[in-house]
Amino acid sequence: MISKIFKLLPIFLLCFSLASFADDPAYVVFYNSGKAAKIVLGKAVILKKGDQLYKTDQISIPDQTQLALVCANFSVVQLKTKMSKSVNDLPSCTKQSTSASSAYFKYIWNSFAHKHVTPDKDPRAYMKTYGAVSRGNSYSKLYVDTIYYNNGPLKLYWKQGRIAEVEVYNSAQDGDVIFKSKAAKYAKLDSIALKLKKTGKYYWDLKGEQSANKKVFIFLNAVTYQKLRNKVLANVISTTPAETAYLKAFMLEENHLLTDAAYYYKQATQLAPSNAAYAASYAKFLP
Amino acid sequence: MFKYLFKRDTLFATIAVFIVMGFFSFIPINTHFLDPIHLALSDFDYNDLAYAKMHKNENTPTDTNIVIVNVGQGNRQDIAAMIAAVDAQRPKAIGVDILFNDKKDAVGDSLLSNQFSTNKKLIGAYNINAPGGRGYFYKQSANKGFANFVGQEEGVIRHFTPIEKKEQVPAFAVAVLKVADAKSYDELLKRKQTTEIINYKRKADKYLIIDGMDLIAGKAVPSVFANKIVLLGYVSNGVNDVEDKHFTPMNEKYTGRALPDMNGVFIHANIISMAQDHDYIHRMPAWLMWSIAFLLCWLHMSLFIKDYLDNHIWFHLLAKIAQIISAVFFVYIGLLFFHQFDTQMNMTATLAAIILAVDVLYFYEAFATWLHKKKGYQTIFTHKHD
Repeated sequence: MISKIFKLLPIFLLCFSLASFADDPAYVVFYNSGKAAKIVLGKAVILKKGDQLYKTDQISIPDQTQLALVCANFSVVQLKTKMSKSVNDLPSCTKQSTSASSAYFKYIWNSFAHKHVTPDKDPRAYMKTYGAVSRGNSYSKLYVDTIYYNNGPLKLYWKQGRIAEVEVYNSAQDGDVIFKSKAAKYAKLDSIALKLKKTGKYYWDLKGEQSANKKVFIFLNAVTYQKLRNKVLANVISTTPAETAYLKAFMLEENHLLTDAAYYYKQATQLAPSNAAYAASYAKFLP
Repeated sequence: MFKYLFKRDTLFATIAVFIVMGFFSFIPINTHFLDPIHLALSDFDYNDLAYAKMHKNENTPTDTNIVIVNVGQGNRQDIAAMIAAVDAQRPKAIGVDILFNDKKDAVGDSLLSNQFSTNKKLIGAYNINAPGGRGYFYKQSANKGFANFVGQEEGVIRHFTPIEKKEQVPAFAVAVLKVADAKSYDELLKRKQTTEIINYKRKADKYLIIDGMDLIAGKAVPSVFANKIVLLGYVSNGVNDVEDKHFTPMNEKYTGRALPDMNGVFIHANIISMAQDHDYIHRMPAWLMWSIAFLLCWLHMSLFIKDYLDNHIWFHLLAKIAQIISAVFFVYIGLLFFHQFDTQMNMTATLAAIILAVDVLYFYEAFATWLHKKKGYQTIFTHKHD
């Protein structure tokens, strides 16, 4: 019996080693809100929770469908835009070692190799702490402390492609979140206003920021907004069409009427496309 | 007690201790990471005990040369109004310990920009290691200094560097001194120290603090600023408000996890006070510390050899007791010098030498005996084996 086991052992070993070369699934389907599908022999097979996707597979995601995939490292990849592509071309999820032993010995090696430097020899390396209060950490390219809004499209893009959720409150201090946007690289003020419905003064911040002072969002009715807008524009002196548009935009931006400011900045850049200052001002409203 | 003090073996064994210490220092790897005590106390300095347990500088009077203006949550227009109100009283210097990272409202920005570029008494602060630029008013500021301290990231702040060597730029407190007190500034620079130890003498309650919003509302007496150094910065509302708050040796909880205890503006104020009072912390020169370490190790070695040869059965117990008593005593001596004479003694070499002495003695004894057998080397350890 034992001699038989020894004879079969090489075959088992060979099978195991061949199995180790088999490709692992790249993703497992976690959620499919619509008709996201895998293309098998030219036919679309709707994906369902638990389906495995390999690098060679082809998937298609129709409009208004959300597909959430789990990577081999257990992180989640969310796909929301319409697409048809190979799984290999999806955002990569780097496969990290989950071995406790390898993580431990990596730590040991890094600790051994960590060089001891004294502050006297290299003070700059020890100067990461500063004793000053920070004021004016802006996470948007625009000055957004106060915004007057009535209607119209307006996106506030976050700096450095940050993805964040906007939390809207009723009060300047504490209070419960009355509306929370989806995590995105921007805040869509028209969507937020649509959800708030009622005009009034609201306060907002990015989730996790805990700013000392929340930003103010003043949602006005059309009449009040127009009055304010006309008051600002009454001070604008007309010169050339491009310059007048830029001046209007600047005045509106300084007075926190960003929707109209974006409109006039765009107009100024269209009238004088070679003007770098106009382009730079308008760029603050773009991704 | 010291009958073996002047024996050749005692001297050679002592030298062997320092050779072993030299070997350790040449090992190019970090072996501290598995030492839980080292990890737990990695940001601990024995001298912190001088503040926490020996009440160093507790009776220092209020510094009347420095006035702190708490900017609170004031916006840029408020801060500009505070600066204008202070400046009207002809202070010696106005240090603005605030990082203005980005553009804000046009009016506030314009007011501050004008003040920073035209007022020669105004000193701005910046973060020298800021990844995204040094602030909105950095370029137009006539006087400025970096607000960074020297220490582990978010660790205890004990040191600062007066002048950053690569860029040759002054620290914020040093830039304030340059405007307010040229004599103290020159004295500080003459010391030519890469890093200075901050001689903390005052907590927040030892400085006059004026609320900035009261000042612009006309509720404060503005004459307090005349001929003073005025620092604008953030003063916390309470113990749980940790904005711009840091750990200092004055923290009552001197090790482990605690709440930070001092706002940045008071750390800068302590640096300025130290320079104006000429109350620097002195460091004992390294050669003196090594000489003391050698002498004390020699004395201990003679004591250990005596026990080893004449009282071997009790040797280990006596050696351990001697090591503990010595460690406590020499830490006390170091603290006493720091407390009484503002002098930092680095007793690390002494303590390390005393701790290593017993183990090195074993090695030396074996080596000397081997030499005796092979080469006829005369040693006091021979009678133990002959």
